[in-house]
Amino acid sequence: MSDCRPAIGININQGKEETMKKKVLAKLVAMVLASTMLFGCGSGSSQSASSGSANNTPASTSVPKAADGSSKYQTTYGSKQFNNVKITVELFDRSNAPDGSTITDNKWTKYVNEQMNKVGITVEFVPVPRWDEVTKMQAMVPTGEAPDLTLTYTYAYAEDYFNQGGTWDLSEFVDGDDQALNMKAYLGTDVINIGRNLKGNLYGIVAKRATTAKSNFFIRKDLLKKVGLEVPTNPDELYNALDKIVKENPGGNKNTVGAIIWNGWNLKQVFSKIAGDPVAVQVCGGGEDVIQDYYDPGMYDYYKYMNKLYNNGILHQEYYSLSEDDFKSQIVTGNLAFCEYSVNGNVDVLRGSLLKTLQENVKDADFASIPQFANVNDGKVYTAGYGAGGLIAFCPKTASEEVVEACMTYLDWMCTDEGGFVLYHGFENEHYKMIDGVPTVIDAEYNSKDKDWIRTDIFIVGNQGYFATVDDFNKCTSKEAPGYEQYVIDNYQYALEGTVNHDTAYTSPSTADLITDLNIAKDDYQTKLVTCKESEYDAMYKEYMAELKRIGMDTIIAEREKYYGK
Amino acid sequence: MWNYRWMYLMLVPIMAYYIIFKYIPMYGITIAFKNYNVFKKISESPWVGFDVFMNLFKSKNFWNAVRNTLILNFTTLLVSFPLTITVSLMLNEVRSSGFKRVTQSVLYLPHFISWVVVAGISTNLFSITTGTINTILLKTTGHAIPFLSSNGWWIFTYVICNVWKEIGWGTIIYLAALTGVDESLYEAAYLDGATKFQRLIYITLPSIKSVIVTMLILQISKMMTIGLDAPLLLGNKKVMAVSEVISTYTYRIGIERAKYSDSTAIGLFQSVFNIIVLILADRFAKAIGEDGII
Amino acid sequence: MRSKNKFSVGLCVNGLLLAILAFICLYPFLNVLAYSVSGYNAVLSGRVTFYPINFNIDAYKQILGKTQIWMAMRTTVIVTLEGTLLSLALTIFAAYALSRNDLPGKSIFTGIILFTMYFSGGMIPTFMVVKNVGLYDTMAALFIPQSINVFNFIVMRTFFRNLPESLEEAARIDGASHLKILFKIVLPLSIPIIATIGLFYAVGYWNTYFDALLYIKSPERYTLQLRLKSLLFGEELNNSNANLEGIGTQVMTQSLKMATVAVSTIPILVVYPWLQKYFVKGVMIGSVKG
Repeated sequence: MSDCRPAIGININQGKEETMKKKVLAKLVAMVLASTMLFGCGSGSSQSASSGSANNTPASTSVPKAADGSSKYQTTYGSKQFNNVKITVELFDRSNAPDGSTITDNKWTKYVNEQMNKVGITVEFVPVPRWDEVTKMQAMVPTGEAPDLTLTYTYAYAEDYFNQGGTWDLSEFVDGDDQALNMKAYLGTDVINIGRNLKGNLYGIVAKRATTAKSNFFIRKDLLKKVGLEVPTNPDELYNALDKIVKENPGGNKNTVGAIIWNGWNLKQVFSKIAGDPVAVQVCGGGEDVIQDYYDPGMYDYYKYMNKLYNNGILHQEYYSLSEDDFKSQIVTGNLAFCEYSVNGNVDVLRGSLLKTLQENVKDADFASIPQFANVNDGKVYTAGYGAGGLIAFCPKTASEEVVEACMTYLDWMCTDEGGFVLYHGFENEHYKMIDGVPTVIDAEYNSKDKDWIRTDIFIVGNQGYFATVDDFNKCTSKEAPGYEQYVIDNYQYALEGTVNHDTAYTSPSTADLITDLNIAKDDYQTKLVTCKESEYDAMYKEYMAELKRIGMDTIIAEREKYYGK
Repeated sequence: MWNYRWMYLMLVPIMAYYIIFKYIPMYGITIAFKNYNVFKKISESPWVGFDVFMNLFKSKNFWNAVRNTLILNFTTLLVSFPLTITVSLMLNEVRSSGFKRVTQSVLYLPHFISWVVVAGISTNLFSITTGTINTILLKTTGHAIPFLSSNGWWIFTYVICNVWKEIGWGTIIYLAALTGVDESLYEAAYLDGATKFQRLIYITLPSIKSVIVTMLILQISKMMTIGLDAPLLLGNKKVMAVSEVISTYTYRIGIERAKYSDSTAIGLFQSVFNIIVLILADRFAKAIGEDGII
Repeated sequence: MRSKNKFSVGLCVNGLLLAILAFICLYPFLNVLAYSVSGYNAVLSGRVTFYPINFNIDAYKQILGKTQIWMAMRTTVIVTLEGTLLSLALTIFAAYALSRNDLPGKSIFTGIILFTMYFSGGMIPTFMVVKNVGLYDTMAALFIPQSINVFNFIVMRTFFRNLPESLEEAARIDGASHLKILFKIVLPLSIPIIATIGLFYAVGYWNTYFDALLYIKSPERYTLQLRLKSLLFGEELNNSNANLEGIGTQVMTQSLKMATVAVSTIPILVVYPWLQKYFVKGVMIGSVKG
């Protein structure tokens, strides 16, 4: 009997009830958003094999120049003195400002302004609740209330806003030879190009991922030992190992669960028939797994394998109804023998320190990642990786051109050591000491109260922080899980083994119209394929393919093939 | 008219409120008929007529969502409506005011628990592998019931959860109505020799008849509307054939991009359907001698 | 007069059934409370039922220790109080005026109100109106645009309609104006429904989330629900986004979530029992004579 909120309009969040109702919703939104997230071709990092993006990088648009040949807009930090320009920058608020400061008035916002005042820019931060940032953006942008520098994780929105004429083309501010030099040095051309459309317009500045590692296989090594088996190196060995563990129950659990494939990214690479073809990989995308289901014949084998796991009691019988918390409790209670989960998921503090908790419950448990299996078709090793880009920042047209110039300068500053490095890692000897060239945390407690609460939100040119190389990231991260350093290193190593097939950023024109129906069919049939009887599998697979075809998958495939030059 | 001057005066702020906050923005409905560009004013976005609707109506998934919405709403109403009234009557009969107060307060607790928590609890209760209920069932009958994984059973689970969550809150209105029942009527009936049950049927129920009818009409007229939380959080991919409803469909559409036109069109469809049902229900109520809403 | 036998079987069965129902309704709440004060391992392992394991109040310390939460609670309390008063006043006026069958133009006014229950302009047009009347980023934006809830209006109107005509007639014969009738006769007799509708509005305002998300820019004016949710998000990482946030203290995620449920609902929960004294029977006794 809450108020009768009108049914019309953007009432996706109907009903105003309690806090918590959106928690799982958040996960779901996030998961779906994530799976539709468009990530860039990560050819910048050395691990990438997909080089097909070369022909898709459009030529830079011409940059306006001043009389003396320098660019009209000066966006390298220090190259121009602004005339007291104020910019508003979006800042995600997690309600975790320590007492004595607020999200907009604290040590770090002061530091930012201190540095930016040197070039005549003042930064005003506009807090936005992190959880509902998309809804907030949807309200702010059309009504002219959006900050000068607006952020989002969904590239499609940024591109849509640009196509509708509401945001600036940033290429004029960034592409010139003397513009945004620090930005170009830190992000690299490939990451910057993620924010470009086909015509070469730069609709947003994309943040760089510190690492594109995506997924790990985790297994209970102690249970393997108890049944006398080695670490599996292929799907058949995995099946046998899990079968034995479930039947013999060496852990003595009431409810042993052989496997839960929370995300099947790497397992799919094992069965994929196109993993070795870089162009085909790009056509598949990685953002929408329904495309891969259709385009990659190897998925027949993948789902058949899952079907076998399910029908033989190895896969959790109601896996589709599990929330992430349920999944985690399967791990920490010791029930679960094997899973595929996000990279570093077993020791990551932010995912709950699962291994640590497990070891409190089961003394000698060892839940560790194992190397990626070789592909069953060509014997090579392929792993799934994120695209190289993270957050995207854009400027609505409500900002004047001087403000946009200042915004780009701000981002440029953030790519420097006094900018990003300090914001993320802090000050030497206060927050870290340099060991092996890597900033090593001195006092984690102090850091978390003083700096960490805001660092990822204020540092917007990089996901996961300011790191020059992936190696730095790995070393640093390992220090953040004390006692489990080697696990972290192993996790990241296994996650990026062999050829890394990255997610792509391109969404073909017809996708927006068809994807809702395609995803409904996908959700429906993926579950049916896994849970149906083994004898019904072939018919079910044919039905699935036919349904996708009927909805119009071929149109999308054709567009993607054209784009990637197949 | 002058007699009613106070009434009209009372209505002034109310009408002002409606005009400013409800009717001025009403032009937003036209988004359903346009190819909406968020930066242009709605009036400047190109008109596409009924294209958006045609597109929607062609979609098999849309109609599935409509069907499921109606099924879920109807079943829930069928169970919860009489139950809510029954529980209200039961509460009304309670003598000890202490017990009554405590029970009432406890009964409406679930209304405040978010669906996230409810969904979590229902997994613990109804899961086929480790659920409490199935553990008991397995011990006693040897069979487990797929509460969450079979289409038919899932509807049952959904209805149960909804009823449990809202029944207590729903009694509040009826209890308020029941306090207004004239005691002297009961006295007269008792003197005439009526049993407790007869008093219930012939005095209590008729006294709150108009409230019952009003509530029924209001709830029927929301048949095409359904919240997002319950089906989204209780549902899962196995039971999509019954758990995909209009709200989840709109939600899926809105994930990729802000498809304002589509979601506005869907909302308009729901509203038109609901208001037709309202008018019919109201006519029917008036035909059987009640006051109706309009 | 009811049966003098206080312990009839019927009453016992009635009471028993209600008690069972009450327990079923209580259990999840106990579950929430238990989770909110249980230790990390127990919570993560999903072992908590309705009693705490490894009791600790860290989650509450974390929530209640933040000034932002208290500020948000202050905002929410103000919005709830002011909003409920405004809403009640307007709803009473509308319900009373439109419950008088003889009011000329009654159907038109009622129609105008009812229509809005089904049709609305949507998020952005409404936002523009709120902004243009100058309410953006004010607390008033959290209750003025939502003051009248059609459902509540209809219910209240039904109750007003059911009041005996004879009372009003008697007053009119004595020369009372409609306003006097409203305040001196109708309202005193309608305390239960006013309490009820007041409760509905209060709960609605207490839970304000979406409107705050849309209309509030300054964090000092965030409502409690908005704050509590943004508190949780740090833990809610979407898998593939892998935007590994800065390390906060290792908070027991599930217990934090449950603690926020408790913090946000307990204050409003205590309102109803306090209101119950207004649901007094026999208010009508003696008002109609003959």
